[in-house]
Amino acid sequence: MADIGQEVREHELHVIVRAPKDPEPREFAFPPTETVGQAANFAAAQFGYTTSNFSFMTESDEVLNRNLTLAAAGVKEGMKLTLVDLGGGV
Amino acid sequence: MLPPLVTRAQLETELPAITAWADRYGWRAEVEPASRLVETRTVHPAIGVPLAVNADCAGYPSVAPAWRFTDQAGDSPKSAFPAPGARPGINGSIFHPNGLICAPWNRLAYKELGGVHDDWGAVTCWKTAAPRYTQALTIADMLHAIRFHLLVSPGMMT
Repeated sequence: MADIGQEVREHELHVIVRAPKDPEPREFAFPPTETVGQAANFAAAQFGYTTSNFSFMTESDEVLNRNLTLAAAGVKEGMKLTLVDLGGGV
Repeated sequence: MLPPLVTRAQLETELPAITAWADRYGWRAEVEPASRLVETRTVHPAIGVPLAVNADCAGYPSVAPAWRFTDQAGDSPKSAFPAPGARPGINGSIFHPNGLICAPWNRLAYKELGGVHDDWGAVTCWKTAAPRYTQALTIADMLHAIRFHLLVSPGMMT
């Protein structure tokens, strides 16, 4: 009988996330159904950011829609993403 | 004013992240902890003209750096400043039409230092000012925000 926890983990997306303030990237695993905003804010918190208006930017500088799920935003296994604060100016 | 040695130590601590960030995006970054200056060079992504954006970090991190786009003479005319661009989901560019990086992490944006914002409190409260807008607490994060807004800038101010 398959271990349910293991099955869930096998369906997670593993991504490499960079943050500007840290020279070293970190690996994260997220359910594909998690939203970009939730995942980005979680990753940001792990890097020590205390604000919560983050998204991910791809290597081609595409900024992912925070409201989409990771799957719907096109996030693939092993993708390299960079945190970006979506705050604007005034 | 914060002792220069404190700022120097802070910049030395941040140097690996600044260097890594600049290498990743092809920017040239020179950090001079002793003089408390950060000088960066890139090109405008839409029109390819060289850009220089520099930070005077005196007092950092007690106060935010003073960020300026400069020309070859080191002056800050509007012509050295990127035009603001729009991006879905962002509530406004940090490139203010008056030639100022309008962000709580730029001390030049504060009214008490000649900027436009008298609603952000004291310049020493920059880390918690304007929470609904761009936030960046390290030099690398500030450069990342500048690049983020530069990516949708249509050109230079005239």
